[in-house]
Amino acid sequence: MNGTPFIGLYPFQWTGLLTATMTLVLLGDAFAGHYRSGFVSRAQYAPFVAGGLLIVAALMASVAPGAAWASTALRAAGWLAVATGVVGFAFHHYYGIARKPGGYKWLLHQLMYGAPQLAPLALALAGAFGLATARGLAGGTQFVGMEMRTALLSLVAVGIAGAVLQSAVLHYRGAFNNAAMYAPLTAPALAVVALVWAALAPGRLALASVLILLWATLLVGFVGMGMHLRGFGRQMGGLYVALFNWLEGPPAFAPALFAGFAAVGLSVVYLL
Amino acid sequence: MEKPEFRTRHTRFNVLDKWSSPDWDEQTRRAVRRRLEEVPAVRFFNDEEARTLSAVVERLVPQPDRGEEGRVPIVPWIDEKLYEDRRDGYRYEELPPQREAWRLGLAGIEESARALFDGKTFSDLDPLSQDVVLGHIERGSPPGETWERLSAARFFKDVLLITVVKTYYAHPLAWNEIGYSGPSSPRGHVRKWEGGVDPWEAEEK
Repeated sequence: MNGTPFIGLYPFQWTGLLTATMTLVLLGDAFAGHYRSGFVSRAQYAPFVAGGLLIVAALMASVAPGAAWASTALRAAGWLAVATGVVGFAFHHYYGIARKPGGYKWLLHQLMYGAPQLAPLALALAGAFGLATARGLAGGTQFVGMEMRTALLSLVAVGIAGAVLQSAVLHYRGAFNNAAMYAPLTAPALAVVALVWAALAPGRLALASVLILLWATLLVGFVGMGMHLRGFGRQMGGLYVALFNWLEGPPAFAPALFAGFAAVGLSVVYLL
Repeated sequence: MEKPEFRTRHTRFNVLDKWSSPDWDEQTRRAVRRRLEEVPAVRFFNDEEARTLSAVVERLVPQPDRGEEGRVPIVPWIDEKLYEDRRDGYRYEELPPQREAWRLGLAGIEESARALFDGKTFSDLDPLSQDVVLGHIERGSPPGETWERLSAARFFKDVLLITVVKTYYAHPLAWNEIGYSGPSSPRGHVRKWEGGVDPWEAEEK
């Protein structure tokens, strides 16, 4: 198996576990959003089917890294998640912007109040991490035509960049009413820059920047999730109306995706 | 006359089931408990006025599906509003202050009833005749000199009718009929679009 083990697990076992965790996290928020809209379209159940399979497959592949059936299952679930995410992105765009009253003329309004445009792509990305995990666990060293390490760090950069954009739109909607709402625009945004830098001009300084900024992104993710959760208790009615505040408030777990992407990046840099 | 029939579209909804749910808080419970258990005695109106108003209320918001005991009380709450002289914060210039408007209005209804139906009091009339009297007042052309001192149409629409309807729909039994969950506080609404019904709201059948 590739790479150095950490706490008894090899890097691709870690990416498998992180893929499962991130998928669980994003399904949590997807459930809040889709339940809030009342599952008006049957397609809104799709992420839970695809994501659920991905979680199970990624966990199995990490637990039984040598098993061919687990690898096959993870590849199937990975592709399904990628497809679901891409189709979901198209749906969110069509029903969340194109078909909404005002359409593209009210783009900013739709971006802020409609379906989160980039959220489905997080599932697609989780699928891609699943596919990379399957490849890595089988001893592969290449992924989508790139060196495995470069490929994974590119996916991490894309993931963090997407999360930065999505959170920027939603935090702008919230008028950055808490200074901490600028946090996703700091370390995570710089981490993307550092990852691009390290990919284009590898070197010690670039790598050191990547490490520092990924650790900072990890921290931002956990603190952010803590603040979102704490917010539910601070809103009017607090946890007495927890369901309401959960549906109406910020995505409860979304900030943890920053931590998830950063953790994948760190495991790649340190272990692979 | 055809038997009056009332059907609600929220057949299985009882807003009192919300009593200890997150939809209500102590403030809501206190207000609703008072409406259910502490109906005030009539102190402002005299017996004749109260009798007239009861008969008027029965024509404006009939409750044929409820027995005498089970009806939403309306006269006592209007009476309390006038007894404590809690005003609306505005007044139409053609109307006197509320206490005077109500006294005059109820006297005017009696006067019109007597003029139109051989000296009978309003509460002794049959429902159709009562509607004739109220129709004259609503259109602003009732017989009786009281109405020279009070704008009949204005009193009917903007004092009598609105107060009666507001009082009716302040009661949980009326909330059941329209699937209203009570104040949207502390729990608000999330499905805020046309036709959006929140998971904790009444379903329309």
